[in-house]
Amino acid sequence: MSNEELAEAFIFPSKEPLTVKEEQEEEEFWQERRKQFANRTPQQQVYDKLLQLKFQLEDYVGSDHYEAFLNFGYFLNEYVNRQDKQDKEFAAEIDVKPTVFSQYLNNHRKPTEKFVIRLELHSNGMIPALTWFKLLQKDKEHEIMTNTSIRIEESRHIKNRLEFAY
Amino acid sequence: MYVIHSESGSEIRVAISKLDTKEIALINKSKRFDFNWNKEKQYDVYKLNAEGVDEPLGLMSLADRPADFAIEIRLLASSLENVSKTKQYQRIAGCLIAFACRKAFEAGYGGYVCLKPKTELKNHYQDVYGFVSTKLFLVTHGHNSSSLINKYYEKRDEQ
Repeated sequence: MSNEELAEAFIFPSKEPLTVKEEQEEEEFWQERRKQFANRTPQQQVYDKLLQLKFQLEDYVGSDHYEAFLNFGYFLNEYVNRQDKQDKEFAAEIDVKPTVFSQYLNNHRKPTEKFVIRLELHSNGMIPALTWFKLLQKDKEHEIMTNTSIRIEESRHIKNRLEFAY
Repeated sequence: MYVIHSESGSEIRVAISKLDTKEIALINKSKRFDFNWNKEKQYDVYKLNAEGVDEPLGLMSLADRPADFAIEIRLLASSLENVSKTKQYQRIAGCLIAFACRKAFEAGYGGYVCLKPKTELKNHYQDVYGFVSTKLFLVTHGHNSSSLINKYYEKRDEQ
């Protein structure tokens, strides 16, 4: 098998044990890595934190698991905090009144389509509007599934219910 | 995330999931993969499965190194029928590497993934996946890791 074919199918270390010099080089490598991480620029740190949020958000909306606290307001708050911005400052950046923005943060107002599009544009596409929308959808799905009071309320409007067993 | 069926060129969706020690032992016993995977039980071992295909197409062992803010790919292998020019599916290794990069972002390591390759194969990993070489290791992080994720996670028509 050629080296290219091997590399396309495998990643594996050399079978030879490390020499003393190589062991020292390995330790130096990890030291350098720790130093590099500690010396990241503020911009790099924000980039890393936002990508972390993006993947956490994608994992959450793609899973069947539901957590009440992982709602739209939570992730929106994370998006703002990870950029080291104040709520008011961020609200101005996406041209939303601070009071309205605060309602979104606290889940007291349903975000509009325009708002999630603005979030996508603000992140330069890093977190697509569709991901934010799926998060809202997930909150809504849970509400529909668990809302018993609305079922009691709406029962009054139903006549001639089907009686099939299923 | 998808692999390509070599014969038809069709895209097949794949999923990557973690194996427990029992599953590792079973897969090792099946002899469908090179290397002794039982030696990897103390690490995080993942399998790549394609939709409609029963057996896993790829395996990967990852070492999480929180003190070094890094994920190390210790071992990666495509199944025996997916090795060499006659392989049934393409992109198996790329999907697994992109998965490791994603894990490294999720862990807060800035997508930092490294591996200690066999010397003769270094160039290929650099050319195909954009790894950067140090003396012993190959490394990807930041934008390169993000690009790998985009390349292997997005559907072709979404790129």
